[in-house]
Amino acid sequence: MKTQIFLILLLTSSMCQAQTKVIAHKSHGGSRATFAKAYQQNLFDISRTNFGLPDREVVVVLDTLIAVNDSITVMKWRESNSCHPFLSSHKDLKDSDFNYKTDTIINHEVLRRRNTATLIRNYGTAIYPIEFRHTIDSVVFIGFRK
Amino acid sequence: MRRFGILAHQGLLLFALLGAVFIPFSFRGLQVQSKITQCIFEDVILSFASLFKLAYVANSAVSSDSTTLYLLVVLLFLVGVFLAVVFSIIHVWKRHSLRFVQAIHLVLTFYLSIVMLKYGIDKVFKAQFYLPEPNTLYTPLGLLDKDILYWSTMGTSHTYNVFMGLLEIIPAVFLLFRSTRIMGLFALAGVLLNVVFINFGFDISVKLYSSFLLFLCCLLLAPSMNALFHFFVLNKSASLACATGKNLVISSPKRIAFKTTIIFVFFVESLFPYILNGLFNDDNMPRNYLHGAYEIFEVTKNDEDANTVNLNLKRLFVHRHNYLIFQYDDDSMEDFHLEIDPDQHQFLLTNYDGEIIFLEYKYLETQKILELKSPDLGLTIYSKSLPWRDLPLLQPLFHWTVDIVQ
Repeated sequence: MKTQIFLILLLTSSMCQAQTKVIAHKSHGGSRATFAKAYQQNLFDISRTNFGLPDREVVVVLDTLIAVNDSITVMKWRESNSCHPFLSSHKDLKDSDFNYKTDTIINHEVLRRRNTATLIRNYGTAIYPIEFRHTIDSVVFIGFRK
Repeated sequence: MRRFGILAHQGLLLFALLGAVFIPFSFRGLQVQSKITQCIFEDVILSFASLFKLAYVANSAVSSDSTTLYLLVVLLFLVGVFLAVVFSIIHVWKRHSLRFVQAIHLVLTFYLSIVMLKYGIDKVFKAQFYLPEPNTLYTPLGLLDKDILYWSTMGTSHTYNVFMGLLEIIPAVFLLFRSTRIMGLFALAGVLLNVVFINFGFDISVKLYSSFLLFLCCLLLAPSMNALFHFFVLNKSASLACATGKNLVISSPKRIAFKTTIIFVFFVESLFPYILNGLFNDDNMPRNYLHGAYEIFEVTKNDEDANTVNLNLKRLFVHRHNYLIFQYDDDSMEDFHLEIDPDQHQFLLTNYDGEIIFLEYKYLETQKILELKSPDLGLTIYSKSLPWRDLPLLQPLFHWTVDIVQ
């Protein structure tokens, strides 16, 4: 369940809706007065929207996968605390630009200790419950079969 | 007089070209555009604004309908006119002016095509006019501003979004081919006129950019206006001439390769995010599991008597882009940026003054009850999930005849 929750959270945060700054602000109940504050100070996700089109996204990085036992794998990952231009590299961001997170994956078909890191890498990035754009080579695998 | 007309036309073309290059549009693969614009024009715009006390600049970034965008457009217009005057006395320009004008025409045509493709595809995949958020659905109609009302109304009909999207995509594709280029521009002029008046009529803050696109379309149509007038009004035969790359790139294979590359880049730019995410209808995108509307049925103070207190709260909402919104009895709303810590079962709320509030949350899945507790204030809010997707506005109503309306 928790895995599913995280999957949902991430899919939600990494896609951007197309709208103007004002409409985006009003869509979450923001008033005209608070828009002025948000716009002047670039608060929250206001820089995410522009010409009625989406152009920015949250940067997600998968750092480490740790096989605890045959059914449990721990995933350490991070997401940027603000939106950045589409296809931005996480290497251009500072450590403090990220929120660090840990999640547990239970009974995943592929992400489990009995598989080797090489085999898991060969599956690509689509099998993970988070969506990230960097290559799988930079992910550290710990505790998987040699 | 004719010389002035040519000069004015070239000035407008150069202004349009500068606009296409420097107005920082939301190109996914060309984020450097906004950096270049900022680097070249930011100081000039701010000096311009302060020197002449023209307008209040709340944010120095150039974005849609910002004061800085208006000032940028004015600056680009002045630069365009200046360049046209300067070029008119340069020998190389005078000698090859026809080819330069043709090249600018082609660049502007492709620019218009990619922009309209992006807008059209975003409509088809329901990413522009998205499903209204629960807090919008529970706001009385009269309390909504025109822009969010228009956006939300459009967001309730997938069919109309697909239709509107195709109305932009088809002319945009027509612009890519010489034989259909004028027809595409002609159709696009109607589409863009509608867009401009929607933006002005509903106070949607893409007024300047949509006007710029309409201006581009009219500018590209201008050389054909005489022929179109003869054909449509005077009912006479007329032949249309449009910009073509034949005079610019003589080699046919090179021209085909260049055009194929451009078309490929255009479709990658507009379709890539959807293919990457495998999601082709934003309405079906998974939401945060707490996303939704909640009716507040009790607020208690954790004192000795555990009294029920009245904070005039009616509902609360969890927005898909991580906001927590409270709706009061008078239907006014207060929104907070929300960060959820599922491990600690905590909400971290931030208001527009930067103040942070911690709330502990508990969600009872079977009863669909969300409890929010403030240890600092000693308050607990009990709320029950509302079936917001069952609201009449979101039902797929369609009736061929009024007789079957029930």
